[in-house]
Amino acid sequence: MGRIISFLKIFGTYSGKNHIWVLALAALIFLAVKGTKDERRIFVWPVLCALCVLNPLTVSLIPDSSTIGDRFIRFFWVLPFYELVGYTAVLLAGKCRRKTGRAAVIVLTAAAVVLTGNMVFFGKDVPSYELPDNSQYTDDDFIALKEILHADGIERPVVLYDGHLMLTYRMYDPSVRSVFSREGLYRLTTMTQEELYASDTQKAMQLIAGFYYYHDFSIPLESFEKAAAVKGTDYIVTAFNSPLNEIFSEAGFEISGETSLYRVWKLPEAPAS
Amino acid sequence: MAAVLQYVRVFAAILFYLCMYVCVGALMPEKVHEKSLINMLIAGFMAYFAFFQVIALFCKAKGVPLHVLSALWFSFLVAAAALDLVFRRQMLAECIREQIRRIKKEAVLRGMLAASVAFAFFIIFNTDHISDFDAGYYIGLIASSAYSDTIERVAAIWGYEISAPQAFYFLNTIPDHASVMVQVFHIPALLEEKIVFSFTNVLVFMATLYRIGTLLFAFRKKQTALFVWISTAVLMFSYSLAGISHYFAYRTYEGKAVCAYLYMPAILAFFLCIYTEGKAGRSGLWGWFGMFFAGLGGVAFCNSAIFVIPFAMFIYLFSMLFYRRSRKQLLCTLTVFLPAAAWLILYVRR
Repeated sequence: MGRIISFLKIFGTYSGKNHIWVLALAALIFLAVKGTKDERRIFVWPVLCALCVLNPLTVSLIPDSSTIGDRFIRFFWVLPFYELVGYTAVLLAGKCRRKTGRAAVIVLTAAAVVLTGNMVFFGKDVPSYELPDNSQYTDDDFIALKEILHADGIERPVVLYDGHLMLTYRMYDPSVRSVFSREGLYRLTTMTQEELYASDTQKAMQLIAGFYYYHDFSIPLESFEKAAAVKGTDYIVTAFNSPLNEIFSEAGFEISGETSLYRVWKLPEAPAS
Repeated sequence: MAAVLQYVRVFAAILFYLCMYVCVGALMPEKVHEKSLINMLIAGFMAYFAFFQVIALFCKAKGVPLHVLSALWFSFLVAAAALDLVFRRQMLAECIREQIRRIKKEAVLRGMLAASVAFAFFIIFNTDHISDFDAGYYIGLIASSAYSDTIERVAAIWGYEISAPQAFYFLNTIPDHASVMVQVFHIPALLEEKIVFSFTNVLVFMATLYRIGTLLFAFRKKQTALFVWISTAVLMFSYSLAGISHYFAYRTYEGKAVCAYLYMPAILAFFLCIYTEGKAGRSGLWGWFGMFFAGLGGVAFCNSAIFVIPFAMFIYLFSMLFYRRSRKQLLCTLTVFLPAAAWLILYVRR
């Protein structure tokens, strides 16, 4: 029973519990019962064949930790559900002798699709459709940031920026380097502050993460500055509402520029010693 | 002015992609594509990325600079175009003339083409791509490779040089293809992925659905068009975070998305060709060639393709072996599984 529930959960995740799958099931049953030999061979047999992998027993046999187990859900890609519904609808329409009958089948199918389904872009709890802000397909702020980060002519400047910028900025401007790597970011997002401090993360990175990311101001500014300098940081980017702005301002850091969302600070050069 | 020039290059790149898919598809024997531009486009897409996978993987393993891969790949494409000019010129000219004649004559085809282009624009104008974590890595990697003239030797998020490409993504060469195009066409990685690649992929997807429709409805135009649009509507209304619709609508350019929304229906189309032609006593070569190249090139897009593509081929071909006990078909089936098996072995051994 546990296996069946676990399998159904995976299918539930795949289908998003979208009721449109009821139409696909109805189409499959219709073709299995009323379809011709060819239709059964094209649509029903392959789906039955797919069941030799898409079943509760296989789910329990493949360990979750394996690459395949981790991505078992992708086996569901092979189910030709939208082609199945499309074919059955056209088939049913074709069975009507009159034009009005055919039109009625199409209208009913369209209504069923709209009523049972959840549309991409415009459906319920669905990420919305967003037109690009500019011709570069990036945030306007990124375009402004690029100007600021390269204004001093530093070749491949090293930048300390927040999670969103860390993830997306280099898509637009690959000529900068980030203080945090992808693995570093992963640690930040999956570990608590205490776990990070207890981990084998470099001391300098712990200090930077603690001060900049977790806003742990028990860390002295000087320690953060030194750690940032060790990592070769040229600029620090902060959001406008960040408490770091006040600290950097009081410490006399120079503002290199501002965008509508971010402030760019230049790290003071370490005194020659 | 610079922005206009950039968009001229973007448009040129879109045309280039589509022309090259057809060019590579046209090189297959005439028995395969049967002088059909759609057959050339779909099988050409599969073959294009299969050949790229072989060349790029070699270059990636050797750690050569990106411009070497660009030169090699463009030499290959120039050679393909030259071979087409010498051996396929007349046939291609006939195909294009015939296609234009049909488009002029048949309102259904005209409507399909116009609607497909409009649909592709609709998809690419959305910039809400949901997954920053994946997009940042995939597109960041393309931008980094093109900027540093290396093949995946600069970390996508970090921006520092790394000694070797990420082991987990080693077999996936699709970011390298995009890097080559970014380097050659001088377009930003974001535009290459979110406009050029996405736009062409939507068109190839629509062509694949159309081909499925022609095979299911024996070239009856109205039924085919209706099938294409109902199927597309069902896909667009089947939103789920882990489903194909999500990949198709929001992450059109991503490797795993292409595997989900393009390779799966293409494999159905190839199977339908084998099935329907087999019934008429013909070989269904387009289907066999398409499946072979899908198995060879699919892994360029994502690691999941290593097991999902053979599984998709398995459910269609092995069910067919049950009711058509033909030794020839068994041999063909085993042949199309060879590249997929080779990738699996390579993946496990690494």
